[in-house]
Amino acid sequence: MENEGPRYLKDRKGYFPKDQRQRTRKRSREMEASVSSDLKKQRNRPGKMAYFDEVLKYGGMRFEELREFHKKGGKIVGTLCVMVPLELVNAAGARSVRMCSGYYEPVHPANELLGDAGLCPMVKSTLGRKMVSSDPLIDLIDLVAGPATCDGKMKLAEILEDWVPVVMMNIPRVKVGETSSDLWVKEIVHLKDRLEELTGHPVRKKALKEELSQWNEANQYWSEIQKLRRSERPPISGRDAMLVVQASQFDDIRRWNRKVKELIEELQRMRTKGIFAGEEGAARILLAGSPMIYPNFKIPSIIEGSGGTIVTDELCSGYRLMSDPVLVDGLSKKEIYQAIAERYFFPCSCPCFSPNDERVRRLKEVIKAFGIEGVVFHTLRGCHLNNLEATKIELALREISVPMVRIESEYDEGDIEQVRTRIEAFVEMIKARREYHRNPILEDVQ
Amino acid sequence: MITAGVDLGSTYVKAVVVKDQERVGYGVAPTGHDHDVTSKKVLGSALLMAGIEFGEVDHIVSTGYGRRVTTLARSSISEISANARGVQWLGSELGIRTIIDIGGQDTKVIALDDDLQMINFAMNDKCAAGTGRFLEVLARVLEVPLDKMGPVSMRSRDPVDITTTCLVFAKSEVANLVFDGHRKEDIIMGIHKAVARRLVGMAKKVGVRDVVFFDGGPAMNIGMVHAMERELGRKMYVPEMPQIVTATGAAILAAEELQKKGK
Repeated sequence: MENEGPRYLKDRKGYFPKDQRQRTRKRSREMEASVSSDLKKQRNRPGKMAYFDEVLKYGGMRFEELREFHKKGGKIVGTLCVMVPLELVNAAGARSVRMCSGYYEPVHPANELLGDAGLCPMVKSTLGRKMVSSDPLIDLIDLVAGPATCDGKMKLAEILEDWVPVVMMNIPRVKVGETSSDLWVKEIVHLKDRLEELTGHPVRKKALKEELSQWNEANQYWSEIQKLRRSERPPISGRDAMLVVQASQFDDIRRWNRKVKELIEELQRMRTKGIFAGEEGAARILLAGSPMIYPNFKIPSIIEGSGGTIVTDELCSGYRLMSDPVLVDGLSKKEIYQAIAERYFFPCSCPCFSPNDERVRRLKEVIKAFGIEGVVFHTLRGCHLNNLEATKIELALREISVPMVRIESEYDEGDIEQVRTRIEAFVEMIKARREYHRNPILEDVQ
Repeated sequence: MITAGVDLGSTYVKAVVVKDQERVGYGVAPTGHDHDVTSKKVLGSALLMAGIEFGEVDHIVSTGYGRRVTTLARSSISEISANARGVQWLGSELGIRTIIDIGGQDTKVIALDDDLQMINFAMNDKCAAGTGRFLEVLARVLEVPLDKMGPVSMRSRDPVDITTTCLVFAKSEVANLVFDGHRKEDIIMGIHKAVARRLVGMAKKVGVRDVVFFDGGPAMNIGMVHAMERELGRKMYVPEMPQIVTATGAAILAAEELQKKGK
């Protein structure tokens, strides 16, 4: 589409004073440092986690690498959603970075532009980060790929066009068979064309297949980790597992694969020694709902600091990043694109789709497989789609006697104590049930 | 065995002393700006009532908003579990299955199973709508003492409709109603109805089963009880001292903790 200059912020000069940018940078750096230091204090933490800390560090080693790559003319593509096929971005010779922001401070510049109309804080933070360049990485991005999933993400992509070129992808939200997936295949091919235009490299079949096999390998490693988390005493915390999988969105996937392999070896050794990442007797929690992007680990930290352990999740910032490999049926390029489109479309249980009964079905399955005792359903303020589906999910879980607690939060620390009260009560409830069912005479003893 | 429970709420601190499963003393005071001083004072008056020295208390458990910061207790429990425990202590013969608790800045609905174990709960989000604070601030706007809100509202014949439960908006809405010449009792009953509507909505999501138990400070307000019962379409059980059920639960839990350790 022809872009006739900024539509949302005409007077960019002088809109944000320099010290606002510096303040936003400073607070973002401080936030990341503090979250990271809390993660490092976790008990029984595997030594191999240090690498993943570094990948996600504000202005860390990976940023330096990407800056070098960019300086030499390499292109960097920002992705706004888990539905963007990273294989394709990398096969075109570009590097992909997930743009969704978990930083709290950049919400404020976005509020100045959009007003605080109960909008999603992740959308606002992502926009704010670009508006004031609060992150050195953000200015390296040459192109943004944004599927029009929820209203927030769609308009975010549109607003970002004021700053950087955007490929808006028309994701079919009514998920019924071939008519929907046909459109998505076309959108994937369109993304490929835009990527080729950007890098000047055609996407060759060989390179694409090579990327696919790398990402499929990554999927396999992730399922190894999930297997370990399924055990009675998971050797890795929920926060660390999220950190590992989110690092894949910034890292060189080949190196990520090597490092994850090393981590898995360490975790297996830990497991044979019976080392447990959680508190003894911790409640086994599944985290569901809106995405939680590092360093927004507020909710997981409260859960794991209140006698719970997150053994798996159903988040697009967690398991979804690495589940389901791309399965190519044939040899033609067309069949490869078809396979990519299917992997990124059908198994995705984002609430932007309807029908989305797949989500409940999968959730029930996972609860059984992972021995889940309770579900924490977290929504970001303004995440209408998750709020709309929460009731349906709660009722479905009630049928199988799995308790669920709903938590709504924003990008600030003002609600920590209130959230903690709920989570603590939830964990206490789970533990009391456990005790009560195991020993029903307990009440009479007193 | 002598134990105590201290409930450090956002507006009031409550303390209860329990000796061999009996509630022998209690104290209540506004939280003020130094909850540590207040909680010591409140526990002191509870002990005085019980005729027990501080040194004789075997274990203290804290609960409520300030549970983690108080220096008084060695362990803490969330106010939701403590409230449920307090109801269990009151006895299964009451047949309680649903607890509705209005606190200073939180409201909770707790569902119990037939063994009085918690099976579900809900709590308002970070917003004063439908909380004790809501009533307190609007009482100030109307210049009616908080403890007179109930009796005054019972005189109402034509309660007004308060359309918002947002405290900030409700303040100006109430101010306008006063200017428009509405009677105080009608406005107050309208306020009670607005709180009740919100709470009952929350309770329905959790699932309402008889007997419904109503506690927290606002349960002492007869107008509030009346509005809740109308909105729910059923009678509620209001304990004699609705403010100290949670503190009692904490004291009982303190005794349990000791027993477990002793095993």
